[in-house]
Amino acid sequence: MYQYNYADQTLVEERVAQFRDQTERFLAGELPEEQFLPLRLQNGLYIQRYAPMLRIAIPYGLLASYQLRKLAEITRKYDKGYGHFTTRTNIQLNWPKLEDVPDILAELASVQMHAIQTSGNCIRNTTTDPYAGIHQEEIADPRPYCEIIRQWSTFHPEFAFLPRKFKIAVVGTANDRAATQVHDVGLHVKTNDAGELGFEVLVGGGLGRTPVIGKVINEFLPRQHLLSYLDAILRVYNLHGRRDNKYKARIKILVESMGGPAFAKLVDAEWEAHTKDGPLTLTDANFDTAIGFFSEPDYVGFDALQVQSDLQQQLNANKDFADWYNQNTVAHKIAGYRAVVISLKAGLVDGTYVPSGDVSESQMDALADLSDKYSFGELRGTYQQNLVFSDVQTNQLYELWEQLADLNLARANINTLTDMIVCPGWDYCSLANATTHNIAEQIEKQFDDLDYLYDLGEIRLNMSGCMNACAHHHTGDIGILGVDKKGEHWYQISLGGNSSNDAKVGKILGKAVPAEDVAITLQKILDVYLEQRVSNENDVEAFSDLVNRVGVAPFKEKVYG
Amino acid sequence: MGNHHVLNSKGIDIGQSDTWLALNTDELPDGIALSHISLLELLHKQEKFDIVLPLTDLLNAEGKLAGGLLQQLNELLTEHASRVGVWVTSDNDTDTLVGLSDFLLQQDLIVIHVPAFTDGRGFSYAQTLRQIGYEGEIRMAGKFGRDQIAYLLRAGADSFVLSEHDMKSISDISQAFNALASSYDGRDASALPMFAGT
Repeated sequence: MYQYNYADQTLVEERVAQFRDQTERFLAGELPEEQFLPLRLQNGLYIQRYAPMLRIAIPYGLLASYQLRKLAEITRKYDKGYGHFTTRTNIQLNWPKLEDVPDILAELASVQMHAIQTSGNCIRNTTTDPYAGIHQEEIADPRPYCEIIRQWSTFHPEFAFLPRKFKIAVVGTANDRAATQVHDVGLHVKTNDAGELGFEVLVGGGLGRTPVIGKVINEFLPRQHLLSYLDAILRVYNLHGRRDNKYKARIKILVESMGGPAFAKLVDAEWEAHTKDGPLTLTDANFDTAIGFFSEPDYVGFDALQVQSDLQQQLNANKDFADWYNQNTVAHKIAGYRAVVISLKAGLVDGTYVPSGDVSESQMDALADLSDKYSFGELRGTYQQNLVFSDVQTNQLYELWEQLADLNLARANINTLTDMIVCPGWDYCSLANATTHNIAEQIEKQFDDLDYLYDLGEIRLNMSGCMNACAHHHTGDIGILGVDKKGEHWYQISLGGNSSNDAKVGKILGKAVPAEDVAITLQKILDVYLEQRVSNENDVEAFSDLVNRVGVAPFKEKVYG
Repeated sequence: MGNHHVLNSKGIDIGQSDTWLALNTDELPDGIALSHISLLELLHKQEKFDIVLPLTDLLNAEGKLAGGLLQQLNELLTEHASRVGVWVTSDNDTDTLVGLSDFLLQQDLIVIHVPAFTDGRGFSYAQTLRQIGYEGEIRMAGKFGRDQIAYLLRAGADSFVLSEHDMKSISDISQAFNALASSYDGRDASALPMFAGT
């Protein structure tokens, strides 16, 4: 994990001082609202319906146990004792006081954390694969490149007042687990025929009102050019992106308006005329330095046969553990280790719905302790609003599972229907048109049988409270979008979206359904799937495959008659 | 520059010694085009040596420098020891700027007018001018804010025009010039924290 040096630490401390001054000037009436707004946003601070919201950066999702403990402490001291993990692997506090925010930022700086550029029209937190560095099929670990991008983009003086926000995602495997095709820039680590490392560069993906899949503008960018090429993309966007309409200001609109090849030409012209091979060029020594921060932890060797036989006994003896093992653990490149996905979709706990991505302060403290004990003191956030322990010994899975279960953090529902991505919705976001938590609760009540969920197989259900699409409803196998109709909340359902390699936008099923009908409508959709899927002894047709094969018509027929 | 203060890159007010007269087409009486005005007379009237002209008024419809005005400019330069600057706004395409690089590189002052606090094109204008090799003064005017000054300096700007109102409402302007003192200019990978120390 990257450790701050003196320069990094100085930077975050200078930022705290700067924001403290800006907040004081704003509260004293010296800094006008229209200037404070973009400045506070670049420190992650929104003003929402009931209270401010502070979004804290977790660079590429990587979090140390001591940082999580500090987050727990902050939520106790300044908020209501919980935090909310987001799809872009940040964490949000829903109830801080404006005047406390400089103090919160100072506390974060003490553990090498910040809220820099987590919001506003600037370069945001770079995201990546939660299994970076541990996946068998990885071409190269994307995290060193993410950290280089983080340092390059932090306080970049030229790109802090872009036409609109700018999000970058990087993956190091062929399989895309970071939704790179719906980012402003997606980078896929590749090797060329000579074995050199570089990136396939996609640009202009995004969701919101105008969902667009990113376009490849460079099939192989040698890695030494990473920053100079990004610099050229950002300059072209900053100068040419639309500023007359915020809904048409993302880079996707610029790229769509001229087409990918023409945009690529503009970038190449800018790059080759000015910055290519200039001082932004990275050296092999630079890469070695960056990679050095992400060295493997001290894995221990095991008697593989013994480990496997012990595990098999545990799996045979306890169905709950076996379910959890099957759903919530992931293969690791090192024999004797697994990655563990901690479900932040507890659903109903003692009858009360726990919102997707929410973690209480006591759970944070406990997770910090467990990560120290079982996973080298590190955690990762995922695009699906869960957490990952990336390096757990297979022979310790059972005891970890027992402890996670005591914390209501071992629900074995990863990649099932109830592993929902859900935005905070109307109650917590002033942009939202509709509530989401009540609908998620309704869905939890309708689909509470795990074995039924396992039979349904992998289904990604994403629900956003407005068309800004923070929960990526467009790319869910099932997407739910909250809409406002004359003050009432209605829900529009779409089918067939995908955020991974086969990225596409789902098709709208039909007119929106009233709030009370969402779960029964889903039931009808799932009934069609169970009736029509094709199975043989080896294979069951997945929900996404069926939708691809038959389209939305049979679902529409069942729902609307 | 009118009733404005001009702060240099150290935050020192150089307004009193500033010899530039900025000509803004919007402030001319209706129907008067720049080409109909005697620049020399205007300078005499205002008791200024040096003139800043809107780039738009120096260009014809094809984006090329227009003949008549250029002659006036040359006269000012050669016969009256005046200096000439240009005033660019966000309506000027940077492709035009790059296309005029020979002309721009000769100027002593380029003023970049910022139409709104959130309009960040000025940052890239400054950077683009530096990229094409412009070494003269880049002066920011318009609706930038004091909290952007440190970033603008790093993007390539040298001086800042602030209104009387801005100056009065700011208790300690020097802070604005020193904000985020350790951050870099975005131009050099070796300045990133993890590489700077090695």
